[in-house]
Amino acid sequence: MGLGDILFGRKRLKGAKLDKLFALSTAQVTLETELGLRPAGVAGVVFKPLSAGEFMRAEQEIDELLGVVAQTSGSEVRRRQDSFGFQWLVVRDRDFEDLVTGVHLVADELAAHGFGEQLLAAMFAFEGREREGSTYLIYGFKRGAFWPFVPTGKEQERDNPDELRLMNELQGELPFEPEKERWLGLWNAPLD
Amino acid sequence: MALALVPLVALYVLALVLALVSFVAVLADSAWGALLGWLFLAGGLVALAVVHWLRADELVLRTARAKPLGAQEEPELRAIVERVAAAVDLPPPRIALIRSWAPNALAAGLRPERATIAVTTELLRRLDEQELEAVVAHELAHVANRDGLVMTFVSGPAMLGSAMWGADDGRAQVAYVLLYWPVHVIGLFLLWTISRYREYVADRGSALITGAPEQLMSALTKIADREPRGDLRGGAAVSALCIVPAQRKSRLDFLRRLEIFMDHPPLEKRLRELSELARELGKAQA
Repeated sequence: MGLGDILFGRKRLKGAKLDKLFALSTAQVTLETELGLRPAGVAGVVFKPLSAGEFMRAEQEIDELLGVVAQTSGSEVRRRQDSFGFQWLVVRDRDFEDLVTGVHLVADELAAHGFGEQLLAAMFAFEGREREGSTYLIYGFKRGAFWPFVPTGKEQERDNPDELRLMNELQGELPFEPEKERWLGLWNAPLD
Repeated sequence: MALALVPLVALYVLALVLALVSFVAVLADSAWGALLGWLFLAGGLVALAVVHWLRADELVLRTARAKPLGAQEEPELRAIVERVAAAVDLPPPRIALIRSWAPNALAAGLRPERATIAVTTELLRRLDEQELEAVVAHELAHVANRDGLVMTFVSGPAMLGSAMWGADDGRAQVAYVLLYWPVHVIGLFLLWTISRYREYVADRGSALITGAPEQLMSALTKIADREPRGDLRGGAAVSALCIVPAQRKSRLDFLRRLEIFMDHPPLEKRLRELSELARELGKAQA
């Protein structure tokens, strides 16, 4: 941010960085064999749509988009909304590589329709690791980096040691967000 | 954009020169004593600036009597703040609560890495989730634009004026009356003008972050009472970072009916700007 931008308050929202997302497909082997985490076959792209006219138009286009994604990747895509007013495009696919491709396609299409600045994150669910609830890997579109998210199941509590362990073991394969305070927890995600 | 700096820098230089001249001319019995005194003053100011840079948020929060939020308190507010911060690509700020009957919110800190957002208990009581999100986004827009830094810088000459006028030493007041007051007056107008401008920018930022100008419009309408002003403490630079004005009552309040004396734009104008933006957003997609 330059001096002029500071003086006039011209900070802008950042566009989406999509390219690092595919690192997740290659990390799948490590995830399953070394960490015992099986893909739950579901992931979500979360974004904040603009209101009013934008939304009316977007609704139609997004529905068309879902059709396109479903056809090309064979994944099932649904639209949901969470309690914070964020929109979710939930992608389901048993094949993990197809799931990642589907999520990338959804995000890419949203960016192409002018929603790039509104894209927040993609969230992938995993099972196993001797715990009841899900373990998540979240990809932040602003920073182009991953972080783990492990809710303990009690209100808004996270299993921080487990999150750090995940990061340590996957560090070589995934680009992780180095500033841990930016590891946003996406509570109440409509992924189930 | 360099041009915009000229009046401010000129005012700063003028303020420092006048302070120096008044110091030498009015306070000094001997020239060496004045020089020594001036050096101490300058050293003090530098030290103050450094402390401010490192700890400005704490100063502001203490004067506003804000209490940092514990990890388990107000989980909803925390979740909203964290999401908005991620959307703006800022590290999540710390959150503080102010016990007050005035619905208001403020951002403190000169650097985004060390920012705190404080909201009053009354704000939480009055607003629903969407409106709260809009107010949080307004405050985070201030943080992203580094308004804390800018407003602290801009309020410098005016603060020095208040300090001189309020000094125990009668001679400082004489210097103020003889030399400094024009700087103080110009400094205040500059402060208010820039503050109003940055309010519009933050309103716009909030609307773009939440994607819904109407959320902020409804929040502003709910909290901008024409009633007695809020009781948040801390001078002009603090008020400039509040969502609605937060100055203490003063005898000069009648002047604040005129826009040039306001540090926030009048509510009607803010609402008009926002509904214009809502129309623009609507049109672009139609």
